[in-house]
Amino acid sequence: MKLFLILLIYIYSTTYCQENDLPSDTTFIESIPLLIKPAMYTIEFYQNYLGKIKGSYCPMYPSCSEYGRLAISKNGFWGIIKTFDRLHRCSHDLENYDVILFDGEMRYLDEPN
Amino acid sequence: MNQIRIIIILFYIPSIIFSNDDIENIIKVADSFYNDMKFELAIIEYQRANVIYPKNEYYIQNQVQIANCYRNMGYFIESINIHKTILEKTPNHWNSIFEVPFTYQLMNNFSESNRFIRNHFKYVVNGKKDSLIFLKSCNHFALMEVDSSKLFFNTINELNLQNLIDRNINVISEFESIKHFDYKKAKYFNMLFPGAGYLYLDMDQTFISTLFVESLFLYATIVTKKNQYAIGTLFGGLFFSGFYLGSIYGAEQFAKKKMKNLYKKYFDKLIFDYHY
Repeated sequence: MKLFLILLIYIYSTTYCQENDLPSDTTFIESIPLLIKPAMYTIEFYQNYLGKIKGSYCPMYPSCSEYGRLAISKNGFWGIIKTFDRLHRCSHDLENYDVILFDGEMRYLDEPN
Repeated sequence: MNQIRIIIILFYIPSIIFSNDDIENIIKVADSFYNDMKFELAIIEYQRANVIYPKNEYYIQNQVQIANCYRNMGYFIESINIHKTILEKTPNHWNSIFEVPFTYQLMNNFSESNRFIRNHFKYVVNGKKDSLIFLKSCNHFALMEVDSSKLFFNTINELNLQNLIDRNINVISEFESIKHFDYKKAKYFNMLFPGAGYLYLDMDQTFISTLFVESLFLYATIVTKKNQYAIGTLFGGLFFSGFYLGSIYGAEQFAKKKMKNLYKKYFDKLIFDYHY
């Protein structure tokens, strides 16, 4: 039963994202390893739906979800670890980051390397 | 803007074509543009001098000035290329031998700067070698090789540079006395206790958030495991592992970043107000 539920969630998430035309990286997502796909879909889902509803403001540039997307696209599985690290650091000890202006607003630069 | 262009077309271009300036006058105009920091106009004038009088005695000097204009405008590659063409003709031209590594240093390409100095050291006369060693010492510091940097500073005998060297050795001593961040320590601290590595890196807020988040997910994993709730254990375990590995990686990277910034800060102090 539990296994079935996990499978159902996974199948739903993959088919859902395929049906809803994800503009930028749909072709890219198809090319990444199967194990990393759910992480990418989760980020896409957050960016397209949850983020908009939540209307949150990330003081860092790029935002955490964008950082995750970039990190995973660059580093694959290692990018997921980097994303977790970023979630730890987000909005804390900001004096350690360079300040930039993005869309007229002050942001703290922290790009995935 | 358009009016300026029309004025240039009507007056400036014909004056270039039909002018009968002698070389000194053109260079004088170019120098005045250079001194007024109008580098684009200065480049045009220096080039005009070299085109009209290709065998003039100031040819190389004009090329050097063009390269300096490019450097001051931030076009470092162009500047280096011009100096390299000068060095092809006159391998011992001091200005170019100094300017190329200096420009590489401005580009933060310290290893290339050192490589150039190493290859061209033999062409420099003894009195000027110390200026290059000074650059090399600064490069070694920027490359995080503090001992080499100190060693090279101590080999400089030039009296004019002595004040600068004393000041720089003091800056290096100050750098050595401040707290350094070892990335291995930061990593291992985070392995042993959640967030301890961040505490070592003076990042208190991140330490608290790491401790809180990792404890939460570890607790969730243990409780769900006790209650035999497999999905909860799976997700709790996944998130705990992710955050745990992430914090280890993050502490290591941040220690490196902090050290790099520290070196950059002190490197800026080293080269501040250095003129050859």
